[in-house]
Amino acid sequence: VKRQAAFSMLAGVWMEYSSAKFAIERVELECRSDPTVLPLKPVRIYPSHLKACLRNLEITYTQRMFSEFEAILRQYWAVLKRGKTRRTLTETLIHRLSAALVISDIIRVQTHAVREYRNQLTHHARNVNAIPLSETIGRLNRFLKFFPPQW
Amino acid sequence: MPVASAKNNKSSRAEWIAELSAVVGEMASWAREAGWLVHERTVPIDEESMGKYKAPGLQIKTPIDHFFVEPLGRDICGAEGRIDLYAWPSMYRAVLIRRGGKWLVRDDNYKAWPTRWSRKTFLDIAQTLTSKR
Repeated sequence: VKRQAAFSMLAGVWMEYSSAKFAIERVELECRSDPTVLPLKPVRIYPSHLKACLRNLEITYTQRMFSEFEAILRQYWAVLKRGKTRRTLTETLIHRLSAALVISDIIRVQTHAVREYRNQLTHHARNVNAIPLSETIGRLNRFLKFFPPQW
Repeated sequence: MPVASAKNNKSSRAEWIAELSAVVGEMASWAREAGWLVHERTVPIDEESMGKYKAPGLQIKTPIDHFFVEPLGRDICGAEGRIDLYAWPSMYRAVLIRRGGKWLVRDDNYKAWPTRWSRKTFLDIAQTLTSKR
């Protein structure tokens, strides 16, 4: 795996989010003047579904992006441990990789904040301090910058 | 922040900047002796233990390409400080890690550089990284 490919994986999720947001906003705008653009089959979609989709889109893609990031961490960790890995908690994994890759504390802390935010989203926690997706990709990329160019 | 803690932070920050200035200054001298153009720059750093400060860094024009010396800070997992050395625009990197009061050199895979930190090692890193394609 190349470090560049890891960056591209996260960028790919960002582009999917941007495309989905653009498409939903476009359809939502269109259906205001012509509600017949919404399908009746195979499922009937109402304007309220589009609004809900738009409202939750960033949350959905935050979870997607973090799961791609987690997969990259696990892949690298397996290489470091020559495949002899047990199921390690993501929190522990971030700690161990931070030590192995001599990562700045501030970057480790910011990455943990994204992980905690993802956990809160997964468990439907209320009153969470949201981290925008644009900030999420920045923080995860800064962590990946410490990885070797290839592994 | 309590006054005593702020004072401690200030003194440890001053010590760290002095430490950085010494090692970065040494690299600047070695690069100039090699006939390379050296531009001294400052790198803004924000760390929990020391707050915001400006660290000394370098931009060097070697005969092949640009080479950067960029301190990342003192609050580092598993080390007492880190300085990145990288070629630009290829971004090939080596890392200087402070451990036990010594600067250790690692390549981009975090494996030990074949030689200890010295003038020769610094010039070797700059030449190796800027020539990689």
